[in-house]
Amino acid sequence: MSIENYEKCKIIVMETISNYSSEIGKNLELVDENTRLLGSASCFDSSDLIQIIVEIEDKINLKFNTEITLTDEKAMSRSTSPFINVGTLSKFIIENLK
Amino acid sequence: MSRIIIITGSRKGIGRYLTEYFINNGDCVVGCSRSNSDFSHPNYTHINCDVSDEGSPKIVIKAAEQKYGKIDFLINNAGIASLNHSILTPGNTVKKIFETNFYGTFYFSREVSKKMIKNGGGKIINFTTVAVPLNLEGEMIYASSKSAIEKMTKIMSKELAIYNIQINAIGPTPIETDLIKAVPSKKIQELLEKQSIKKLGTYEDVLNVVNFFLNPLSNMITGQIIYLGGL
Repeated sequence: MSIENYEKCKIIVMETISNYSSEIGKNLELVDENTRLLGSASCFDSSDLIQIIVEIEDKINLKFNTEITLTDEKAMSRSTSPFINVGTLSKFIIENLK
Repeated sequence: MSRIIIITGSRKGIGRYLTEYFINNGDCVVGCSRSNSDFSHPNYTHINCDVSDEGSPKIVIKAAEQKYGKIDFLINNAGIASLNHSILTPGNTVKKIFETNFYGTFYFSREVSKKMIKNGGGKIINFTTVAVPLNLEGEMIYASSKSAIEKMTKIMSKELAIYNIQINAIGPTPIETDLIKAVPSKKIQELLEKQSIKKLGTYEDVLNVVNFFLNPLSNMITGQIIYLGGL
């Protein structure tokens, strides 16, 4: 995994979450690798998550000039969802970019 | 401002008719089909692709976004039919029909919806058939694929309502298109006898329903199936 690309992805993920949170009036004090996207510890519901994923997918494809889909079989068939937090999602994006 | 419309299966039949109508109406259309279209207009972009290929929607969407920056409507018109007794239907025919009709509609709906979510909404129209409620003999595979599209229409409309996306479907009666030219006239007559209005539909009949669904005044209408002919 390229650390540089990982950092780029993480920044896109964090910025998207931060912007989306502001838009819906849920200002998160801190968005980092551990910010939860799924589960009871997340401040997002499923419709929020879809909007976040759609936005991130678009930004990643623009940034890296790719056509990846974040909701492919690889993502959905895992025993542990890649959408748990910022870190897991960033790692998953990197795997898709390879 | 012009409306930006993606129409699958735009080369001929209903798709072609709708394409020409919208272009003449001042809208912009990005259409697709497996082979070249002989229709050309500055506001029409044609993409050669197979809707059953999961990568196709992204190519069409990219063309629409690069040229217009948004997508207002998606019309999932592309479809194929096969008439045969279930016992005589090869597995490969089942696969092909489901791949084009159901998977094609799904792939385009899923990918275009993502763009519509970002743009704050949109409308999707799917195509079903009167063969679904009529349970026509010999149309098991075709009607089953369209029945699946109806279920998709209803469930996706619930899932996407929160994003201001309305999804509806139209079920035309038989219309003089390539899709029914191989059907014996006796069979068509039998089908028409089962309708309240016992005659073939026209492109204009389909357009009327399409326009109804796309009308901004129809923003409260989603997850609905409208059949022509009275069923």
